[in-house]
Amino acid sequence: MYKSADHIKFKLVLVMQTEYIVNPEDIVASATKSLCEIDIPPTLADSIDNHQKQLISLASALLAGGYDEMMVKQSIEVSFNSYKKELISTIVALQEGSYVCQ
Amino acid sequence: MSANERLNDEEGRIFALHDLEILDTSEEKPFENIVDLIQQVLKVPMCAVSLVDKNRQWFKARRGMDAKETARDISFCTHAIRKMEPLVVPDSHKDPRFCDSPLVTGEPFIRSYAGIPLASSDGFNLGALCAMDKEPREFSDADIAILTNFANMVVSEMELRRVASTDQLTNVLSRRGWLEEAKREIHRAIRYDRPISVAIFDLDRFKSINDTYGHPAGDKVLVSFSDLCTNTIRQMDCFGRIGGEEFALLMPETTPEDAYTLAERLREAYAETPFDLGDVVHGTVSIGIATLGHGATDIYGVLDKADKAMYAAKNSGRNKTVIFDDEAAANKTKTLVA
Repeated sequence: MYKSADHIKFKLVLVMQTEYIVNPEDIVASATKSLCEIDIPPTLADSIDNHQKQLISLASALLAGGYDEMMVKQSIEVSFNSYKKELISTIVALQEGSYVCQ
Repeated sequence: MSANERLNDEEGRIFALHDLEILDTSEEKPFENIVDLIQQVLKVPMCAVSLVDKNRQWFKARRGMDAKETARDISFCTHAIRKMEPLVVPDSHKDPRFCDSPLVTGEPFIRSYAGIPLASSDGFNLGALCAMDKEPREFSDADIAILTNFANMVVSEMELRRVASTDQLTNVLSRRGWLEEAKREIHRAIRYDRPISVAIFDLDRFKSINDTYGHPAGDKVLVSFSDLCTNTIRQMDCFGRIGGEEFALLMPETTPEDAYTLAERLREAYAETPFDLGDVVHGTVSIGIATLGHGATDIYGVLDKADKAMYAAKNSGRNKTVIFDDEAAANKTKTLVA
């Protein structure tokens, strides 16, 4: 089947874009963008930093293992959302302890 | 202590595990999500977050297995925690360590196993994250890398859990941590029909310390009171900071009368402790004690009664210990009903 130069060019751009999207850092950045909405106490800064690194490492391992992009994204999103829920609950628990006496 | 020394420090390992206050706790979503993902990604019928206690392995989360725990000596994970590296068993029938294990010859019929040690921040292997199959299986390097990453996340979740359970100022249990522990102990007391008591401590006129000497001085008083209590109570007791200047002590195997004796000792010791806040200051504390029964069937019911007793102590001049009067409360209810 004949393929025009434009078609090949389009496919090439698509492949390049796909490769860019499949970057593990980007997958993690996209999944975790809601973190910036949370006011993070200093006590938890290291924990969050570590978790971000773990997510990137997991995304890299999944991609290296040949898993498709959707599966990788889904795994990262589930992992992050679960951590985020616990993180918010921890922040609430910390706020219960740091009080101003009435 | 070197990593190797830690691997051989079983006493330290058990202490670190118990310190996490995670054993025998209920299901928690983060761990459930991780085992779901492992099952989905690695396509294994069984996986678990296994914590290796003194004589058992207890599963914080599990898939494909019915038992909540198994004896330690038959477990694969007790082998996994002896090293820092993953333990991979491609075919348990060909491995002399496991071929006779009841977990291999009977349910859940583990034929292949990959376990990643769950190392705490202080370097103790508390358990293992494991993926298991009922068929022989060569776990690939990629499988192990993925499982290792999930294991790191399990550890992160456990650490986060610990932060939420610890009061950052006094280092005793936070309200959340104390309630979790108290629920377990109350459940045990009900199940075995054992005595149990709860005391609530509220530091008297604490606001005036903050207002007069500033919040750092107030913090100093809170830390000193916590230290006094943790150094006085028994190992089986459970102490936590449940509010600003409010603390709670759960005493298993203790009647309210015996709890009163301990509470009075703490009250007197605190009143005698001088604080150098610029001026030398003595604080006092009001204490309420309650137990199960007479309408209190769970920790919240007992706390409610202890709280009322504590306010009775406050209202009768502070620096006192009051036991909630179940009989008087019952009579009052009867009168209201009549």
